[in-house]
Amino acid sequence: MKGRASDHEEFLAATLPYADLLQTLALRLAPHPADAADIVQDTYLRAFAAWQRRRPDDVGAWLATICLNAGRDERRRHARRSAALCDGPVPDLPGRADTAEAALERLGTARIKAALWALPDAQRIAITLMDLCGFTAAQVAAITGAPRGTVLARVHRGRKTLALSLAREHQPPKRGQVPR
Amino acid sequence: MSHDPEQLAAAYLITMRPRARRRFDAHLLACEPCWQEVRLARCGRHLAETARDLAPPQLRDDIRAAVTAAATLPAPRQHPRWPIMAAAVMTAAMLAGATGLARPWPHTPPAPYAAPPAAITAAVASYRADRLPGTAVPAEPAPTLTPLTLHLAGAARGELDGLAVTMFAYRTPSGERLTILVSSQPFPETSHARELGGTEGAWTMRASGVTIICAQHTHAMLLLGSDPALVRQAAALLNAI
Repeated sequence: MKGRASDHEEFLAATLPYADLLQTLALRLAPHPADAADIVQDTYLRAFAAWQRRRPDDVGAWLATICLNAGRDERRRHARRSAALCDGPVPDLPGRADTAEAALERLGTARIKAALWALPDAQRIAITLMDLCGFTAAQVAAITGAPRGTVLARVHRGRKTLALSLAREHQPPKRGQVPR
Repeated sequence: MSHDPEQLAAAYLITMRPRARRRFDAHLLACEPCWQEVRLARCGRHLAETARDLAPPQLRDDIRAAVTAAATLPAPRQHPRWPIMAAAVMTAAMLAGATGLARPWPHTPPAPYAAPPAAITAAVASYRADRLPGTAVPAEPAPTLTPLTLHLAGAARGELDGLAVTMFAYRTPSGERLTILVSSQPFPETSHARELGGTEGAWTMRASGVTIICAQHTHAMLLLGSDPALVRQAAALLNAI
């Protein structure tokens, strides 16, 4: 019992610095912040159970792998219990306290997040792991179990699709489409 | 010379070594398709990078509490004795029923003692770990949930963060789990909980993917499960809501 108690302090010291990274990843696995928080907590509990058996060499990549699995399970649970379909998060509307600049910025980020959600799962996860979480191609390959070449293709195509979809949104409407 | 701009641009932006990068830099000046690939992907990367999130401040505290609670649970057994425990509980239930003493749960009035909120965190951790809080055979019979196809899978007496509890673990044929915790003292209501309308003070909350309902009146029974509908149905069946 004493061993487990000191274990958990050691575990928390090694893993809590990755909470932001896991939150970023979990938010790309579940559309609702409450579900993402569940995934992060689930990740930590699963990781702690595994920590008592062996210490990972690469804590960040190890946690991300567990988080992906927890996300898949949460998705299955969610699909079972939720009859309503959800295509992705609803962008936050600017609050009353927002300045115009902050409001625009918030809406901009919300659009990017919505565009990320529109990507195929494999591309969204690869981009999240590499561009948002900072993993290398080799780490992403190890985390997702995909060959390195496949990871490169997924990241590259996801980036292109993201750029193109947001560029389309900012194109001025054609003359015939101007609302009266 | 034919080449694949997509493949080259992906390698250039992600894994290319410095010498090859310098060669490709020169190639970009003359090759429009490669330049377009690089430009688009760079733009996409920049956009993606702005979507980083920070964990909410409360999350780290929640993680710390959940892991600490998991660390204080008894270690899992190599060979779980749940079937034996379940049989013992069934026998106790039958004996109690024969003497007219069977009650779905103890109706002792709430004691002034209020257990620390960590008991709730420990209850969630215990449910998630699919682990009983102790090894003693329960004195009271298990509540019957067979109308919901929930069958007793194990039971034990033990402690959750210093609070004496009896835990009954159920499963449906499809593997969905539900746990009932019974104590002689009221379970503490946390700030995350909300009162269930139309009940006499029953409250509910969700943590780490687990739905919790605390029974009305005595607040001495907790129902926990991953499926909110099943937890609610079980609570209704036991008049807990």
